[in-house]
Amino acid sequence: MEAAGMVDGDERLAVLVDFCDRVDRNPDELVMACLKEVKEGQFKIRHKALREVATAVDQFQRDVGDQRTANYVRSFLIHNGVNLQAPSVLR
Amino acid sequence: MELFEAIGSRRSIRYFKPYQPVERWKVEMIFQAARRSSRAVNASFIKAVAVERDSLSPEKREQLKTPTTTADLDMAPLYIFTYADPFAPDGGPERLKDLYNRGAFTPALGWSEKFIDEVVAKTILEPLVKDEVEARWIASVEAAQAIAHMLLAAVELGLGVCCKSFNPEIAAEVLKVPPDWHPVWLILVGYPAEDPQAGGQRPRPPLEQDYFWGDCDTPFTTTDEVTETLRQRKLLQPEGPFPWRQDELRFLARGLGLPE
Repeated sequence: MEAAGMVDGDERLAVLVDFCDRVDRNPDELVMACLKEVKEGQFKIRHKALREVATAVDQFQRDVGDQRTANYVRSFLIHNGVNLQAPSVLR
Repeated sequence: MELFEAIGSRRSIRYFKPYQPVERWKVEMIFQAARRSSRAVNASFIKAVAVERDSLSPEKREQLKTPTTTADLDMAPLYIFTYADPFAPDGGPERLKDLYNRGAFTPALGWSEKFIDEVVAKTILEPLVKDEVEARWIASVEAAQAIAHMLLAAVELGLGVCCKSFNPEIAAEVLKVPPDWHPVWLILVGYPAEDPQAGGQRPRPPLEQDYFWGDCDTPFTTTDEVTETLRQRKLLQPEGPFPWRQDELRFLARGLGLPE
């Protein structure tokens, strides 16, 4: 959370908690699901897990009806090294 | 725009106005600039394919992305895929003789048509093309010269550019790329949505670290006079981070619906 600049009382934290409840993972588990430590301090992307998380975030976006809210989750992951690609800026 | 200002103003632009297309005449100018780059044996090592973003399906565009080429690909209205052709030296002797006849290579420097046929062709060009590593190396170096011309021409034309990686398999399928062409960079081209300063000139190590005078024990030292002249001619511009840069990035991310 610190990497993403989230603090207690932050609206973004509430959104992250909501998302984590929906996917039944805590924030650390969410990050580690997408990254595999290959050497101490070195990680590679678990592409299949990343796609699953991306799909879950896209679904979350549809459920809450707001891209900015879903972006809080994407932002959390990005700041923790998970390069979750943003949805297309083109409408 | 003066050349020094174009060099100093070039940034890797990562936020483009997705709604503003790049005019075809500007692409023609960029390609003509590339065509004038220095190139060994006057060979066309560079190959470039301009593609309008909107001519690709969203699915293909998505497949072109890499971990480091992401939403910027969606924003840029124009892509220039660049390749290096390692077989470009083919026909080298004929081109060299043409250059000899134009006075580019001269007897004063040891050149003759016989020299081209018997020495250059046999002992330099033929082995070069057969050595895959060497051929790819020189093709990439010469293609990069053309790419540098493209970047500066684009800046001169008021465009933003950025060299990016791309998925070569998808590009090859979409662009019908010959199998021998070696992928170099995808250049994203468009009108900057961010300030063209893009947060300021990027840091570079001191010039003395990488440039030398006479031998590698003697770093090339800068002078105040030249530094000031280059500031006035805008090759040297203020380095970031500008105090408002993070606010600008937040503004862009929110406007474009991107995570912050």
